[in-house]
Amino acid sequence: MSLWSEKLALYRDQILVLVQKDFKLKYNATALGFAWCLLVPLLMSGVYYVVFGMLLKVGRMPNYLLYLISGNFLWQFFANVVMMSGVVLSKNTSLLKKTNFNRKLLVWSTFFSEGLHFLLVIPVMILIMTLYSVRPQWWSILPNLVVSMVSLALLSVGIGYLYAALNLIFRDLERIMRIIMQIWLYASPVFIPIRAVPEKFMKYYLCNPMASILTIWRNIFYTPQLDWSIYAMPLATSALVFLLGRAVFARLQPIFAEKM
Amino acid sequence: MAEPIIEISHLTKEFRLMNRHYGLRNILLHLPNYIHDRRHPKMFTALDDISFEVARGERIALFGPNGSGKTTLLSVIGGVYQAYRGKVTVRGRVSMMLALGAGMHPELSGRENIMLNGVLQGKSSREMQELMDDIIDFADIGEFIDAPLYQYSSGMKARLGFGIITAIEPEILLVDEVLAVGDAEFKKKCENRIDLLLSNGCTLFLVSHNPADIRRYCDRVIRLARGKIVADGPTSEILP
Repeated sequence: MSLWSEKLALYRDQILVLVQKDFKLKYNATALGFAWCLLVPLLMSGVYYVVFGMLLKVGRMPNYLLYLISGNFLWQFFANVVMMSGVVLSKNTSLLKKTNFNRKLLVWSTFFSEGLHFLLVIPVMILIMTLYSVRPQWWSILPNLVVSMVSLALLSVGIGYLYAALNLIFRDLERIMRIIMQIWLYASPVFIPIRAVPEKFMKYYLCNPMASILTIWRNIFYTPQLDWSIYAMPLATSALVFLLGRAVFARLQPIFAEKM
Repeated sequence: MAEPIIEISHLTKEFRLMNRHYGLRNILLHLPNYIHDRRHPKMFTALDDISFEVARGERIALFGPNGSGKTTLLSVIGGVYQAYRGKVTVRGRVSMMLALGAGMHPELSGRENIMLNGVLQGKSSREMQELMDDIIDFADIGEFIDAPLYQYSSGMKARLGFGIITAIEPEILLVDEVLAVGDAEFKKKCENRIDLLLSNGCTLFLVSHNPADIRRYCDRVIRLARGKIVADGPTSEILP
C-alpha cells in the first residue's frame, strides 16, 4: 500500500467522524431534525412566490414555483457551506488546540455534512418536476449534475477556506459576509428570472459562477437540456477561487491554535 | 547509537501579548499608543532557547512552576504550535492528552468521543472499533460511557482520555498533568499501562507538579523556569 492511499483513507475516516459529530450535535434536541433542510428552502420559495410571483409580478415566467424551489435548494447548499465554514474553527477550539490533524478537513466536513442533506433534495426535485410534468432529458442529467456539483464544491470550499482562516483575524468578517451573501443572492438567478437579463449581457452575467451553476442545475430539472457552452466558465472560476482559498488557509494554518 | 526520537535545538516560542485595541474608534483616539504597540509589540517568551535530545524509550518529566512553558513545549512537540525560532524534529507517531477532555466534544458520549479522538489522532475507524472494548474496559466508568462528556467527573475524563491515548500505541506519548485527578487504583492501572507501552519502546513525556508521580513514572526530569531549562538529568539527581 502506498503512503498516498493510506493518507487518503485516513482523511476519509476523519471527515466521516467530523460529519457524524456535526449530525449528532445538530439534531440533538430538534423535533423535526432532518426535515428542516427541506422545509427551509420550500418555505422560502413560498415567500418568494407570494412576493415576486403574485404581488410584484417579477416572476412572470412558466413554472415560476419550480424555478424558485430548484434555485433555493442549490443556493441554500452553497450559502450554508460558506456561512458555517466561517465558524467551524472557533466551534472546534478544543480539537484544534489539543490535536494535530489537517485543519482543512474541518471545512471539507462542513461541505460533506451539507452535501448529505442535499442528497434528500434530489428525490424531492424529481417529485416536483413530475408534478409540473416537466420531462427529464435522461442523458444530459449526468454531465449537468457532475459539472454543477464539482463547481459548487470547489467554489463553496474555496470561499469557506478564505472565510474560516480570515475570520480568526478579523472578526468583523462575519457581518461583512452576511451582507456579501445577501448581495450575491440578489445578483444570482435564484428568484430573479434569468430571462430578465438582456441577451447581449448574458455572457457577462454568467461570469458570476453561481449564475452559471444555477443555470446548469436547472438544466436538469427546469429546462432539461444539455448546454456544453456554459460549462467552462464556472469550472474555471471555481477552481481559481478554490486555489486562492487553499493558499490563504495553508499560510495561516500554523497560527490557528494561537489565535483562539 | 540510535537516532534520537526527538531533537530540539534552540527552540524559542514567543507569543504576542494581546494588548487589545478594540475597534477603529479606540485606535483613532489613542493613535500614538496604537502605533507604538504595533511597532514594539509586547512579546511573552514562553520558551527561550531550548535544546535537548530524547532517546527512544525515555520517560521524561517536565517539572516547573506555572507559566514556565511546560504545556507550550508539549504543544510544540505535538505539532499544535509551530516553533518561532529553532528546530524541532520528531521521529515517531505522537499521541497526546494536553488537558482533561482535550480533543473531545462535551456533547458527545464517551463512546463517540473515543472514535472522534482516536481517528483525529491518526487511527482508522476500523482500528478504533477494534480498540473500543479495550478502552472502555480500561476507563471502567460503567454506564457513563454512553452519557455525554459534560456529565463526567474530572476523574472519568482522565480515565477515558488516558485509555484512548495509551490504546492507540503511540511511539511518543504526551500527557499534561491529568493523572493528578485519578485515584490510587487508577494510578496503579496507569503505571501498568505505561510499563507495557515502555516495553514496546514508547517514549513518555509527562507534565506534573507531583514529585511522587514523577518518581513513579519517569527516569529523567527536565526542569523549566521562565521558559528556560534550568536542570536536566536523572530523576534521582534532580528530585532526590
